[in-house]
Amino acid sequence: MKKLFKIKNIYVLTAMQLANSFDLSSYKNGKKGLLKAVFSAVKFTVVTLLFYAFFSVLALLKVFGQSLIIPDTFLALIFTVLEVISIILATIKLTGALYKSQDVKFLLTMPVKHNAVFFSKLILFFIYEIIKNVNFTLPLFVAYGLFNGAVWFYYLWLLICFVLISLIPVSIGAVLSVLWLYLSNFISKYKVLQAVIIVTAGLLIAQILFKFVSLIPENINILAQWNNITQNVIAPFLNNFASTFKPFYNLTLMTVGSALLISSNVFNTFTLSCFFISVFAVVLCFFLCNAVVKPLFFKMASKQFEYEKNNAKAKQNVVYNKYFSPFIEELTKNFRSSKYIAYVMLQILLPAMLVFLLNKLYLSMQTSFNGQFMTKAFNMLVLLLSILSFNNEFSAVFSKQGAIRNFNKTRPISASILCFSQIAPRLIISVISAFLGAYLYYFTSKVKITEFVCVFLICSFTSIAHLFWCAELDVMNPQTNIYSSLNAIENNPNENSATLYSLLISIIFAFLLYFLARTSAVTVFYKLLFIAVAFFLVRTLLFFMRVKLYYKEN
Amino acid sequence: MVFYYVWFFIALALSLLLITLFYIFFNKNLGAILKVIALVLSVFFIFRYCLNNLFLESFNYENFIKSENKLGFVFAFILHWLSVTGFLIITMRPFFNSVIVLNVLSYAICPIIFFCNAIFLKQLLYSNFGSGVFLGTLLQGVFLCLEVGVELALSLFYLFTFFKKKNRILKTQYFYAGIAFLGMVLATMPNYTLQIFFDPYNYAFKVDKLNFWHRIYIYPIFIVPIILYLILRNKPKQTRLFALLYYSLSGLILYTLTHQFKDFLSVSNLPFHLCNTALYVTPLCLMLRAKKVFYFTYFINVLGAFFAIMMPNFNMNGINGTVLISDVLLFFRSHYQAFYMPILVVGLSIFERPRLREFKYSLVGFFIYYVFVLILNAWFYNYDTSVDYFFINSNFIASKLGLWAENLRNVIIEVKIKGLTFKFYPIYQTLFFIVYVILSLITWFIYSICFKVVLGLLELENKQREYKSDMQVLIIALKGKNIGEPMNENLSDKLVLKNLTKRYASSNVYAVKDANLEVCGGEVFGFLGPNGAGKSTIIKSIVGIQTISSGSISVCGYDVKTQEVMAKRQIGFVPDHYALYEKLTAREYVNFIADLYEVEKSVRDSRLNNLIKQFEFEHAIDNPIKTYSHGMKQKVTIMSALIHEPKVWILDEPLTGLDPNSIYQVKECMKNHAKKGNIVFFSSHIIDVVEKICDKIAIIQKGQIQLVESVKNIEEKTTLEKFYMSVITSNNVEAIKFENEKVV
Repeated sequence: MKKLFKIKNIYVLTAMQLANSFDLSSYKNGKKGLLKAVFSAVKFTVVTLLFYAFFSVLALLKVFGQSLIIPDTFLALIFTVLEVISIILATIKLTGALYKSQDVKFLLTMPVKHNAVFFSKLILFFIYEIIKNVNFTLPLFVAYGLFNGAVWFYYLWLLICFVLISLIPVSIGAVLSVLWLYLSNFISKYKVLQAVIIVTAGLLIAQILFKFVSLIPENINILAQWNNITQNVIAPFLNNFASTFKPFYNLTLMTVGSALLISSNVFNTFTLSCFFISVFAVVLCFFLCNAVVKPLFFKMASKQFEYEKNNAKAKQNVVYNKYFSPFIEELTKNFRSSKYIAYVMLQILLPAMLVFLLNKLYLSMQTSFNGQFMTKAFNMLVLLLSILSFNNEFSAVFSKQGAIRNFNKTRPISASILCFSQIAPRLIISVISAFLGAYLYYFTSKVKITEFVCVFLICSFTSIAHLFWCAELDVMNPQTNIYSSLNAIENNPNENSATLYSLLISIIFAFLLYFLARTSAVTVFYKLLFIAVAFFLVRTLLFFMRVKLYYKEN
Repeated sequence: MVFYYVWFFIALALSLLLITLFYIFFNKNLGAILKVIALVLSVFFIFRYCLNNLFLESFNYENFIKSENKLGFVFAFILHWLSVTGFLIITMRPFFNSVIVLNVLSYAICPIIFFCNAIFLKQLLYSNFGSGVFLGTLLQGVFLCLEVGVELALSLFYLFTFFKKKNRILKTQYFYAGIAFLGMVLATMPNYTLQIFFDPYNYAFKVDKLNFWHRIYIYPIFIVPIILYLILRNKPKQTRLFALLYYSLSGLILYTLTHQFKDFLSVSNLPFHLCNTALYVTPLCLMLRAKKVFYFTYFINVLGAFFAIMMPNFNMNGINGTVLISDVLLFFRSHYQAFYMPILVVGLSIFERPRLREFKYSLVGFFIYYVFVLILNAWFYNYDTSVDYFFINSNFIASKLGLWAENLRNVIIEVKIKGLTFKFYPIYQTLFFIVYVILSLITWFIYSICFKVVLGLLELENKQREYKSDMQVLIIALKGKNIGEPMNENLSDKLVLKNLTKRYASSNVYAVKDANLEVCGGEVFGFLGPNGAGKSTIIKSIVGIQTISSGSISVCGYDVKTQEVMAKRQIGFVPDHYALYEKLTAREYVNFIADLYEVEKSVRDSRLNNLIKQFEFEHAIDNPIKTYSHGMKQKVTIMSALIHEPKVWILDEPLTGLDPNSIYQVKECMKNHAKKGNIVFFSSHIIDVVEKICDKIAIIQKGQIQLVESVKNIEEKTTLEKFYMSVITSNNVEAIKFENEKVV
């Protein structure tokens, strides 16, 4: 009876959370429900067909050699990537859902055992995982089966394995979430440690990407060397990958079997043993969860809602110059957030990586005389677009502060300095980003140093001008009231305008570079620099004028 | 030559006689007769201009080099040039009496030009018609002499009226007239000017496919209208109209320089080509105020001119022209005019900015024009195969676009009517029309953006002017004092509102109207009123969150509008709801605020320690603000407002959400602050609290301060609550006011 009651509690909790997450009302209505079901079926079919087409193209291009079959190692590659991402995301999301979500506060007050809450959340997450796999992983395997001519019971077996595949990230994530919770709580106490981890991770990822992109050879003739590439590069890579990620490869083999066409080797000793081992692993994970979480869940979940009463050491008052103080305040505020540090890393590294990748690809091609100009133009386009896109959010830089924006108007300092201090960090970051991007352009394209300097200055001035323009949009058309009440705004007209401007500016500069380079390759960058400086001067002047005259009023 | 001088003197005498008669006897109609004379002058000009101007083609480099009297050659050329300039000035003078520049030029410059024309009439005749004019009696020579006679008469009359009326003309006006004259001369520069002095077939100066020289010709379409706009935008409307009409007429004259009457008998020379049409239409629209026709050029011609400038078609015997050849100069000059004249006309508000309705009419007009031109092309092609109005008959555009366009053009429909073959290219011509309409829509969009930008800049300029004017008022009011000193030292311990009025931009209702208030140091001043009465509006205006519509606010002698920063330094503000940076600790936050108020370290340390003790904040001062409760956050706001010991402490509903202990602490703080001689200005809904701590109160309702009264006086007669309710519900506040109270 007790057990039944417990299961019923879990059912009710799960159903309640499910109803909150999904709009199930349409399924109650016969017609609407049918339409939704048909739509889902159509979506599934379309995704399957897309994968089928993908496999067809690969086979047509003989990517895996002369054989028209898609090897299981390739499927294992895709599956591994998906599963690893699923496990990582499951870990992070479960940590949030189980211990940090606001509804846990409410659920813990219900007359149910704490682990009932825990398992209801796991079940909910499992349902999310199934839905995600139905939309993506299942069509992948179905398309694989169709393409390779699998037997009919492959698809039945696939459904069973699919349930297991969905359980794996959930079970592993549930175990790892406990570790991740303690780890993240520990790290969040030490800001410096957070910053170091983020910067190190960012640099590591950049280094890995750099290494990968550096592998692209120069001046390759893909068509002539295609057989060589498929036999000596792709096939060994897939085999190495499969042996490195053996568990995932085995899971793939478990699902698809080891043969094709009319072979009935879907069920053999290997697949069945894999299956049972996987089931055992999942059960073990859930058992561990129950053992660990049962005594600790309440403590772990409720801890998130306690105020952090650190016994902070008494500090001294620090005095700054009144004009310098707003900048220090802005930097202090921003760099206290680990998300901000990660975002800064992204802003600095992404444009540079994109330029590096672009140029490595161009180096692998043989470009004509005209093509060289196009290369320069595309470099300018990519660099500017990637830098300017990070400026767009500054079209709400003042509005996002909500009530603080109005309160700041009471400060005895010029509005220009106050406003400038809020965009100064981004200004510096964009210059660093432009420098790195220009340097990688110079490094890969082996252009003259004057060209490197010009590209750096053009991107810097243009980015700063665009940044001022975005901030000016917010000064002239503030959305403070909406941000104050809703803490967010959908479809901010300023942000739409800023995005459009960034696109137009990037295209115009790229176009001018291409067009002017054809007539005079020597002076083109000086002309663009002149335009960039003029743009910068105009936008800077307009920004400060408008802040002086409109900031208080708007 | 005598023959021509006779005609000159006849014209001069008759004109002078007519003008004198009207001046003496019919003075009221003098203006009208001058206009009639100007129109007659125009007729002479057009006739002699169109009869035969082919001699002008002899003004070229080859002849200049061969000429034995180069100075005479140049002199004749300049005489011809200035005669056109003078003609335009003197003809337009009667129609633009209020344009000072024109007035000055008509008596200061024109007499010189026309005297020279009269004295050197022979050279003038020669420069227009060549030596052949002296071999017989050319009709066009007669017209020229009549023209010079009338011009001289008019200019002498203006000179006479200048001396008679003794008009005071400032030196600066002469200067501007001189500059304007240079501009007018430049506008009438003949197209063949450059080819006289330089070899026009030097292909180093070739204009071709967006090369350097082609780009040099493209830049003026952006630069010139901006310069003209900046020069003319603040001038009176008549001056703007005159400038634009002058420019468009000069363009038309230069365009028709080598045209004769007989040229119009050739169908390919008829002015049905879009940009040619614009040259005739623009000045006519300006003269006759024909808006609808004008908007057609605004939407349709501008686009066509732009493409013409980008894809020039001045093929000279199969060779592209150079920048020096007259036809090239003429091509670009005419298309500049067709491009930016309509934009300037609207930009300078000669005609209003068109609405969507006018755009639709323009499209209709374009459709009619297109069909008309289609038929004319097909018809006239039978007589002249070079007919190609609007380029829809030839493959000029198709050849620029590529093979696909040329293939489209290969689809032909021929219709035979009465022995004439009408040839149409249905797919190509339909596509041409559709694309042009789409481009016109894009043009509308571009115009909207440009207008938005320009209006924004104009508004900015007005605001900047306002700001400068306010600063000048401040400097005068300061009477030599430093800008950082109070404007009125007598008010150094007061908060004064004078006729304060605030209306929000989009509303017709006044949030605050004519509010007057004076709060002295040492007072705790309560500010009461129902919701929406205007309390927050007044407070926001004092602390600098928003601007005021009219009136003034003085904080310790500093004007809030013009000495904003100094006024804010006197104020500490506690809003109704805290607005804090929650990632900072309370100590960090208060220190950053103290930095802005330039509180020295030693003072800051002791003051902050006292505040921490007072608000029992020792355990939390170095924790992040996000960990605080509501009451703690409000205390942080209060501490940051007091760290600089403000002379005016303004609190807007500060006790909302505080526990009783915190309320007590805040009240004590307010009393202590006022005891030090400072002002505490306090808005609240809680009447009990106001009653206990305030010395004076003001009651505001519907944007107007109803009264100011001492709390003691009120309590002698009634309770504050009853008093407040009686004020709020009463229609006659005067009756409620006590004796010896301050009338607001």
